[in-house]
Amino acid sequence: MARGKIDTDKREDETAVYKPVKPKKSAVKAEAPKEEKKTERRAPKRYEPEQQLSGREKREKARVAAVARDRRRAVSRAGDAGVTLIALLTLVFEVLGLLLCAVKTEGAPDMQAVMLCAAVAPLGLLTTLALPRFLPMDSLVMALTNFLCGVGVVVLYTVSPARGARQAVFYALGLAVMLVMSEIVFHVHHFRGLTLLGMVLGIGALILPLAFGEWNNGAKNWVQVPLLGSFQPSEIVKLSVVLALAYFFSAHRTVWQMMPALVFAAACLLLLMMQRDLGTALIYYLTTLVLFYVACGNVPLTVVGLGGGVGAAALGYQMFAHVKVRVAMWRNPWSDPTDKGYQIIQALLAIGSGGLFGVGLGQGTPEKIPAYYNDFIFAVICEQLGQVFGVLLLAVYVLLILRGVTVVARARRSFEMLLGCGVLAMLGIQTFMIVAGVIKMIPLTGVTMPFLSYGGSSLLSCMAMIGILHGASARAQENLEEDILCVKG
Amino acid sequence: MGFGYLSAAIIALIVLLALKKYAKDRALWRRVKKNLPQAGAAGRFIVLSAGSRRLPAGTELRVPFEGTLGGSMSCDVCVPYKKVHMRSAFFWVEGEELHLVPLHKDGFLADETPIEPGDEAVMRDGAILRVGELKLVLRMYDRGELADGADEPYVTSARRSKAGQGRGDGLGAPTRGAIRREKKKLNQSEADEKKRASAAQKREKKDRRR
Repeated sequence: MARGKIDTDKREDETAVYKPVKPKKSAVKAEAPKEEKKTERRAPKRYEPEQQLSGREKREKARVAAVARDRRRAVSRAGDAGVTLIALLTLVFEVLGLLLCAVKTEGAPDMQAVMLCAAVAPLGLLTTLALPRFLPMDSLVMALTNFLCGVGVVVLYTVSPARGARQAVFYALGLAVMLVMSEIVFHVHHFRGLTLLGMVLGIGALILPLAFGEWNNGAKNWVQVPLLGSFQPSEIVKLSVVLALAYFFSAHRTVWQMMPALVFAAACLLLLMMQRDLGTALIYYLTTLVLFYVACGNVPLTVVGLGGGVGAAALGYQMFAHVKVRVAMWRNPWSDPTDKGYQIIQALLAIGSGGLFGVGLGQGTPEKIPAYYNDFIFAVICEQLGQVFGVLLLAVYVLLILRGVTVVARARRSFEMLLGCGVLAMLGIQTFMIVAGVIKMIPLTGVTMPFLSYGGSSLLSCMAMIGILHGASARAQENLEEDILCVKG
Repeated sequence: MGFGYLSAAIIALIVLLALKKYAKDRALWRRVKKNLPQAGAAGRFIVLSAGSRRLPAGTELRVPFEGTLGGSMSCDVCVPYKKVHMRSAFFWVEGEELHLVPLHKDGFLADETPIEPGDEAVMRDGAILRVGELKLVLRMYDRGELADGADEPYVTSARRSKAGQGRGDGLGAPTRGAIRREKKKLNQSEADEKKRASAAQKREKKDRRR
């Protein structure tokens, strides 16, 4: 029987009283005989029996509605108000920071800063709000990454406008690389060929600086390429290492089956030791150890690996003179304040002089710190924007990694899980090493701060890693959507 | 200096908003897992009987598409039972089948068939996995149309044998250990048959004498 016809007849026959969903309109229309044709044309109205629901039934109905709402939210790609607000706050920070730089100079305003503001600020906003709608990316990871990159561009522009402008270009390129990497991880289903290719290219890339590089600051880890300029192969090889470790450690293999990845990681470590890039070697080693533990959960072998690392560190201390110097300066930088301890002392003074809320954007004397635009960018940020900002910046990193862990934990396959874990381990270890080195918690290792430090290789590799995380997140989200849509009821 | 206060306020707001979003999403995921157990899982093991107080009968253990089974909390299917190793077996799902490979000699029986370490047991819906007194029944979720169009599973028997463990030479090829065990079983069954035949002959002789 049609829904629209049951109202009047059934009221007389049955005891149940039917009540219209919209009582005012339906009551008028039901009583008016002239409008019968109009009501026929319209969609049939919904009538529901008037029921006296008990408390238990009401609760059950509310629970079912809540489950349906959760299902809608879980598969929804609509933007979240919180993430939109984060993107807007990032925009405000970038616009105010760059405009401050523009009007700071005497005379005519700095047009480069204005142009940079017009280019960079909307880029972050658009990518945070638009990309997760088209691709199942994680919007929070996207928003936090854009904020960190924005801080990097603004602070670098204040200390060195040329470097700041170049960093903005690298940021835009990095977003493109991130998109490509996320699409690769999302769409490619067989990684064997890619992994083997990455391993071969990785070893080749690490040999390049040894063959054609020049010694710079005690390490030989840069290569000059005629058209591209200089780049650091060890930053790009990070992706190969993560891919190889995830591929060979996944599928719950035995230690013997994990050997190709372990041998590859050991070869990379050896080449990095030959380049004397010990900071990056430490990142590779710790990432391998973390992934090994996550993959097989073998505590004795992990402890053996850790012991091997400690032995290698002791050997490195004995072999390399600059390691001895760094350890000595870590223990007491005031023993040589004008030469070897100068760097760390200046960084500590900068952090201290910044106070809680900083001396102001573009103020202070960051140029006194050697490598202020890459290794010691955290000290510059603390000096200009304050220690409160510095601590909260670390909280942003922690949140990024926590969010990544949540995303990775949803992955259906161990390969995707290990890929995400590798990326997060690498970013987390790198951030800890440089921040702890700058604040004199551990000896200085000379690695860049992810997303903030100046450098194309570093920023591109970090963005590519975030792309991998997005790809893993997209796969997990797609699987979840399938599951939810598949469930009946 | 003013920008210092402003930037501190901006970053504090960002951290708070991110924390809120993070907590909200975690809660949503927890609710989805609770209300829709099929989401992110291929099926479930239901405990039929157990000699463990920590694992009462009727307990349901979610089975993801790939993972480990063992006594450790870090395992995907945690079975706190004295005879089960901390990381006892690994498994994966292909179509509507669960493939289980024990890593230790815990004495797993899949539908009353013993599985040795390295052997691959293929279990379908309703299969019973037994270790000592512990008895688990496998219930796979009905994945409808999506079951056919799902991605190829990452772990396949072909991949496992190709992974350089030297335990097979291709898709579905029996492992060396399995061949050895099969031979042993065959020899044993032949010997048993001979014994039975000789015993039957003896009985016949005795009957004739009588």
